Amino acid sequence: MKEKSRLHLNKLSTVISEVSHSTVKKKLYDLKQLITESENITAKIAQIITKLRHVKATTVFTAIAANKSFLEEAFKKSGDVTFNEFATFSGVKVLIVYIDGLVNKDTLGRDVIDSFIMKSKELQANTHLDSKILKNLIAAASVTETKTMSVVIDDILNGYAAMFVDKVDTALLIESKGWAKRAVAEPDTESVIRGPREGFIEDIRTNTSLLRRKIKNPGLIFENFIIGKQTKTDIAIAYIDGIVNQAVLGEVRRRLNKIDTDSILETGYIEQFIEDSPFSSLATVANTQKPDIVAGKILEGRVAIFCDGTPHALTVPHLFIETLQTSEDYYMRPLIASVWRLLRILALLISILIPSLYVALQTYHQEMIPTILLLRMAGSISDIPFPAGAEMFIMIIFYELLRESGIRLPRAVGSAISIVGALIVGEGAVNAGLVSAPVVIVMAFAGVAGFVVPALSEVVMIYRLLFLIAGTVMGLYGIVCGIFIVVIHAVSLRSFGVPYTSSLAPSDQGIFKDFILRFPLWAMRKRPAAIEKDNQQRRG
Amino acid sequence: MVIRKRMFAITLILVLALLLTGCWNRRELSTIGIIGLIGVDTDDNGIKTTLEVINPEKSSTGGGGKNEIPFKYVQSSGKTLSEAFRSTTLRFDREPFLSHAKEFLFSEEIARNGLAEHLDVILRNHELRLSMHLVIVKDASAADVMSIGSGINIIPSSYLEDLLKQHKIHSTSVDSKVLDFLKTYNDKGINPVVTVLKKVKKAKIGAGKSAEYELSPEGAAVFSKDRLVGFLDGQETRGYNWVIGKVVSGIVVSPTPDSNGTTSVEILEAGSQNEVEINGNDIKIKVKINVIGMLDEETTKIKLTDPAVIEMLEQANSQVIKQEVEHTLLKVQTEYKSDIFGFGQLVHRKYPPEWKNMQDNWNELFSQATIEVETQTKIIDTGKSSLPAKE
Amino acid sequence: MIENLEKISLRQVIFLLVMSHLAIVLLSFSSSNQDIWISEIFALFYIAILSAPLLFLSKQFANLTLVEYIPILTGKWVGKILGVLYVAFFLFNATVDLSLFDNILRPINFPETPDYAIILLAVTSCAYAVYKGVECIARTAEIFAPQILAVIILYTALQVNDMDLKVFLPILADSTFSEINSLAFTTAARLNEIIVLAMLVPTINKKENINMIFMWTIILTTVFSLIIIVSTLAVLGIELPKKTFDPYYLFIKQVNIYDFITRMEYFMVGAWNVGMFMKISLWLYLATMGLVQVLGLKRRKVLIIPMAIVIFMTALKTDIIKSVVVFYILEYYVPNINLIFIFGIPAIVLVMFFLKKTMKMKSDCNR
Repeated sequence: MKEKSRLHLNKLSTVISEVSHSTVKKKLYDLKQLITESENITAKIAQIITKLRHVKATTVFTAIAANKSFLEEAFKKSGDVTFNEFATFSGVKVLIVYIDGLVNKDTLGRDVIDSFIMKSKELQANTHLDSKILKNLIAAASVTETKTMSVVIDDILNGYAAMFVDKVDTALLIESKGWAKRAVAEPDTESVIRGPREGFIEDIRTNTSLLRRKIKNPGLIFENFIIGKQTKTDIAIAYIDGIVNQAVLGEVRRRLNKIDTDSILETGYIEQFIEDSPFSSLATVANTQKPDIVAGKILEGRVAIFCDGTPHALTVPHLFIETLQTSEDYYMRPLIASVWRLLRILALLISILIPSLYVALQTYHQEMIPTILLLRMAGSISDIPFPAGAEMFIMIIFYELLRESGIRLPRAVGSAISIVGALIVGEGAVNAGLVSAPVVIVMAFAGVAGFVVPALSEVVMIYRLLFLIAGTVMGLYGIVCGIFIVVIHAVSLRSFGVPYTSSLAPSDQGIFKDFILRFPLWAMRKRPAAIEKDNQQRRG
Repeated sequence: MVIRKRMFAITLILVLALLLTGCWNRRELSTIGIIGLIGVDTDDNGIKTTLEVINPEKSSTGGGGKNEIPFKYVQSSGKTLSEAFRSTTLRFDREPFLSHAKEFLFSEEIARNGLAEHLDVILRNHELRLSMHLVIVKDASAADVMSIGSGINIIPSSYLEDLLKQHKIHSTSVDSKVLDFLKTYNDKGINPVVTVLKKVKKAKIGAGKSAEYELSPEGAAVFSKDRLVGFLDGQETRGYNWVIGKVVSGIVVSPTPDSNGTTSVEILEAGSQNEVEINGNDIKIKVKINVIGMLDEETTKIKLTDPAVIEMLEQANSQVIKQEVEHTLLKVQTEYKSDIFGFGQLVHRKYPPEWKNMQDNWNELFSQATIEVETQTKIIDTGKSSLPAKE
Repeated sequence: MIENLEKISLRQVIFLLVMSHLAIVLLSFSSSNQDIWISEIFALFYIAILSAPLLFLSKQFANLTLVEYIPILTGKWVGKILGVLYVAFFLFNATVDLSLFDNILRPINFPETPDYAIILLAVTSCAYAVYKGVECIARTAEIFAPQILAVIILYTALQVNDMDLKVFLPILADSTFSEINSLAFTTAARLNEIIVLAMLVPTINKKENINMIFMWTIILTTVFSLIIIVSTLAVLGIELPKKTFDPYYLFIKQVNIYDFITRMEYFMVGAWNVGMFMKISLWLYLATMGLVQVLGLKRRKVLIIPMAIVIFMTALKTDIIKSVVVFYILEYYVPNINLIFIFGIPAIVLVMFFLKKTMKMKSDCNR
């Protein structure tokens, strides 16, 4: 029976005529929609459940004193929680609770207390106060009311001021955030020649506003999460409805909701929790500090993740071709941008492979080097005590130490260290015959080339070392094996479901338009096919 | 699961450790001696090889200050070439590294006894390359010739290589590589031609140290199969180059007609078209040579602005070339009886069934064939000036 | 059951098959005289004939691999035995390719390195590739194949000056029709990539185009083989390649442009290296997948290490590692074995397919 059905599988429709391709397709589509919707609902339920677990369901007391003692107990008499009691002329007692340093006391004084007192004068005596009337008495822009103490506590910690009125069992929460913020400035590590110089700062609301200013589209949606049991950090994901890849969005929500940890201090924490391959040295999540880069990525269908307290924003999915792109590529003209792209690819390959190639050629394959070059090399290494592999290894370690110390040291000592490094290695060691000049040159070349692609700096460092070991042991055969293994590894990665090496393999037209060269903007009609399967048209 | 992962990790580490214990084929640059020239002579024992080892100079201390010669010679002998190469390590402190050797010199004696047996090592050994220049040394031993380096370049192998490469400029020598030799040796329709090198005494000009001898690659060595049968001198070699179409540049000197001056024409382009016709037992070979040239020197007064005069010069030029070619063809046919021009290949391509019968004694048949030569010159340019300097 | 996540696209399959065949051609081709290019073109015809049964069967059973549908047509036990035979065939190919690889790589650069080092590294890399799955192997092929094909064309372009195409005259004069025939047949019998295609059919994205895949594969393979063979013979002459094991490598060594672009043979060796790795990984993958389907196991990945060890041991311990033996096998045994597995068994299975169909139609008519 089974054999019969298998043999006739493709002739089913001739037997049963109602079954047609389009109905099956439609049903499949409906099923898919159902699945995505149920996933969304599950995510939301999960969020609600986590919230509920942390909440003590206490309600606001009617007596101010009770509220005050409850809050003092909750905050354990912490020094910066301020309780301000006052009474209006008609004898209504009001308690305002806020955290000093988080609120803008001018707003509080002028818009809240002042207006309350002034406007309550107009009230008739003995009006029954309730939340609606109270709201009218305050001239602040955002006032919410609540009856639950845990909400009050959370909001006080977020910079709201809570106002309790005697005999009313609703608390009013007035937004009056005003803490110290860094000014929006150019980020140190991502400087450009042409392009905007704004960078994100540590306040999430400013960051989202910077993004809003780039994309004035009602479809730009920010979804808020609160992650971290102790820190309760604000996380926001941003995407454009209608362009975003729905599967990726669902996956992001699912993974964020699964994070169960004490603290989220930086987007790096989130990255390590949600990324696909934690043990690979190739990152599948991108981070950036510039709003125009985030805007560009969202417009191609990606999702951005912001975290309060850090200027670095994440974007998912992250493909290999993005590591070689910078925002300036798109602001410059196509010809020069293409040249820079090619140079970057070349720099990446040089930086990883040149130390090991040098060692392999010198030790195993001397016939590959032109004769004159070989003679020069032989002359300059003639009395070096180390074999070539060990020499290069020492140089790599030295170079990495130099680089790392250059990041950490205070600015005052910086120039001294660089002089020491240059003099010691450049002149002293070569003259003393400890290292040979070609090795120093090769290492310097590789090091300089490694800075051209900063997004891959960890990749470059690790692979350079591994390839060096492979080259020392087995020469060019070891290097080719290493390349094969690295490529297989890179090709097997997925970033939120999208293959990591997307435009290279499986290949699409993006490989020439946006990876190796950069076609003019008017020729890039479609969004990247890997991320955008459905809405590919950019224009029209 | 954890245990499995741990075992996997341990196996991996062991595997890697195994690889790290030995790098078997490792050659540090400080343990190899880079060979520039290989010279082979006969010996009582078999053959004697002389290797020129280049001493790499330290660039930081500057070269040349100390009169240290940057190369040394090593000699060793054995029954075959590979045995001789190995036994150099008995006497020298570095292992010979042959991949950068540029030339392979054989003495005349070895060439007369058959060269192909010594070339097998080049095909089989992974270090030697087929693109090395193959040179036969005339009237001297290879070891003698190897020590001469009297050009701008001090190292003899580079001096010799640059010298050989200039064959394109004068076209009176050939530049043969081992690959060319093997290609023509295997083919029954053509025989090899190899560069020949002679030691020439040099006149001492000016004070100061200068070399006593210099090397001259003029001429060529003619082989039949793989045995040396004779030599061609400079003009004859150029005749050979005319026939096979390998003349790239050169000067043809012809007497100016109707006067006693000479015309020198510089060759810009030269090509040949050869044809074979077989009628029964008669083999007729037609050689046609076309030359495009430029007037380089004219010693007597003639009216160079007249096209008829130019035509006359062209004819004189063609005549000289024809004589060169005919002389060479005759000599090779009668004295050496070896088809070095590749006419056998033409027969193969045009008359394949007849070739099957002829291929085994083609050299005999070639020596009895009739050859017709036709040359044509075109002088397209008279240089920078029009009328001659002499009045 | 095939893992449903792994799907590879048309282009990837074509590149994969082309590269794994070129990897062998790049290496050694037997040449008798100057008409070898004619027999190459002629071999197209034979390839089409030899592969017809498998192509037809694959189109019929588009969702099953070879090892899965043989038991359907020939009965359970016979099918299992045939399946095991096919798995042994894949392993045999992997071993032969591995020792071929070692035999060519070692004399070039590492004459004193013991075989086990080279083979160990190769088997480890290929086992890692098989562990990641056929999707990764196919994507790697897609990344590397254009560059390798470009390198082949580049080498040919660099040597255009030294080529002497008159070497190929006189055409068809020196060999008889039967000689060309037999050479074409042997060349066609060496192309065993059709089995790879038959086993990979379920994992391809769009299944209607199997014929197109196959056509593109053999056209690309033939074109590039012709480029390789013609350029080698033009530069080295007809007789010299017969004396060496790796004529194309010799050809590459002659590249010398102004003494500057010279000694660059390692591009080709690296390319060939990657091609052979892909070929061996592919065979290993098919062997594991075949065994999983024959025995009905659940997880594929446990089989990788035992099979890798089997190949490793076989390649080292038996005489296969000697270069003379390997080339002898390649010349004489491989075409015949290929014929059995590519043509013989599928032809029988095809006949049984038709028999069953007619029997069933008869029984349907009788109802």
